[in-house]
Amino acid sequence: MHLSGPIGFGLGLRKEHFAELLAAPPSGVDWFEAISENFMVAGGKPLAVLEHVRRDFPLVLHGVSLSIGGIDPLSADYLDRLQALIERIEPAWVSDHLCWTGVDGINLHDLLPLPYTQECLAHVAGRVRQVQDRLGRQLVLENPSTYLTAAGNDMSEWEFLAALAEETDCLLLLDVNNVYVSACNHGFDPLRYLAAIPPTRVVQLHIAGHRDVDGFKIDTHDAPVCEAVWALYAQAARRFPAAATLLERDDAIPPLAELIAELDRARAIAARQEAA
Amino acid sequence: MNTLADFQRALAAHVRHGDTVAPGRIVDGPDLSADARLAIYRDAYRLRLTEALGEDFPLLRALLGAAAFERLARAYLAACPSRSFTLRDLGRGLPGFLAGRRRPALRATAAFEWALLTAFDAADVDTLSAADLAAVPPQGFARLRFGLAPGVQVLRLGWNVPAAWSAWHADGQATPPARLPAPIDCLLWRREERVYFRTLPADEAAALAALRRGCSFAAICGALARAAADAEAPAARAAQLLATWLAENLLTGAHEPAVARRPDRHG
Repeated sequence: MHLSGPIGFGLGLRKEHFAELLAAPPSGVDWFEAISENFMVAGGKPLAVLEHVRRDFPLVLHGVSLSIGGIDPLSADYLDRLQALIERIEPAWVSDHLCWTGVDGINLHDLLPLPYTQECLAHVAGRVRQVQDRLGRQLVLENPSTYLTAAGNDMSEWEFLAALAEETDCLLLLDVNNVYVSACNHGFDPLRYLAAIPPTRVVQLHIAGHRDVDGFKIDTHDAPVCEAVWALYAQAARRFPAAATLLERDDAIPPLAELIAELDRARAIAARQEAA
Repeated sequence: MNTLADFQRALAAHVRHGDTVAPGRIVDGPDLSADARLAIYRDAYRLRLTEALGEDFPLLRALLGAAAFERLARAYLAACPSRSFTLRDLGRGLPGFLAGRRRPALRATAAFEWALLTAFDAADVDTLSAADLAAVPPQGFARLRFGLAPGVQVLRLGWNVPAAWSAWHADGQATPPARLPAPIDCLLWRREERVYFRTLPADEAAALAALRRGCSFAAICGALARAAADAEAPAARAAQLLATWLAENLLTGAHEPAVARRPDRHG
């Protein structure tokens, strides 16, 4: 009886926890999210661990290099590798970010911000449809943390995402920490963002920690979730009761038990929203 | 006009080279300037990719120290930007990039660390076991040919990187690899999920080189005998090496004549 949809509360699959995961499947975690690119390798330990975890837990694939907003053609090689990984581990969802990651063949390995214009919306929508046709499934797209705004935007990020989902029938992953980080960096109301996202599209929520650096909020994923993001998460859990929740940690990774305790807090907050 | 392509090229040029982004492309916030906002992406690019390189070349980074390693990373990324979907491939060109530089021990270190990584996630294959060869009659061995499992590599090193690597792992002290009186051949491979390396005796290096060229076992024995002319029992030595290679999971499918694989051997 998970409030947050059929797969519940998950953690990112990180190499720092491989030994613990191989020793015994942990309780208190309902599913794991794997960074797709980390497992798009020929063989060896990462794939062996992924196969092992897959026996005990549902998995979700989360990509960082699709470059759905890029102007280079979508990489057939990348999509072939992704498709092969999908067939191998049968993830519940396949997600990536609303961003671009490089141009003219050079990958910058970052989630770079898009202009939110009609031109860009048409461009991204066409590519989402291409990917969905190629993979034969709905793509799940996540809102990135952004630090700058392109001049000449026709719409806000939340309007862009809602329109994109409507136009392409894709699903959404709402990163609550990213909404908060971007809201602080750009000066908008994060609740306005949440209110504009159609609940039926949101299958996953992300929560994570960030850092304050020189007046900016930087999405570092190297710390526990802060109180302001927990408060926003409560609002998100109420608005998107069917969405699963994932706690992300990519740096300064603590023992698994510590992350499971943090995930329990998400579980408790979501349960309170259900009861309210 | 801020078209999507113009915007992406301008931002990429700034992130990679610090090129100025024309005024008016980025919203200049009252609290945080467009320049400060752009700098976040530029710094993140440099930090993220330098860190990724450092994770793949930890001994090289330790030998150089953080500041010199960062300078190296900056020069390397300017010359060899990532063209791959994955950071896993970022360091592929680093040993070659170091070729023209003054400290050849660093190039050897980079080549060694890249070879470790290559072995780490090389494709999984069913390697040959002694049991697979049990059915081969003694007279059939001469014509056998073998393949090497993915990730099996032999590096010729003029610097004792394996010793430097082992010492660094044992006590955390990064000491530059010592110059060797004569180059060594270092074998690197993965068995199950662990990566191993060892220095090859000259006769074994010659035999493995013959094997890699696709020579028959008879020709491999010939290479072995030539490399160790004073050996008393080249046939026994060849049998011993073959047993070692099989135990180390180095070999794949023998052919000519076909070897019957035991059907129950999986994983």
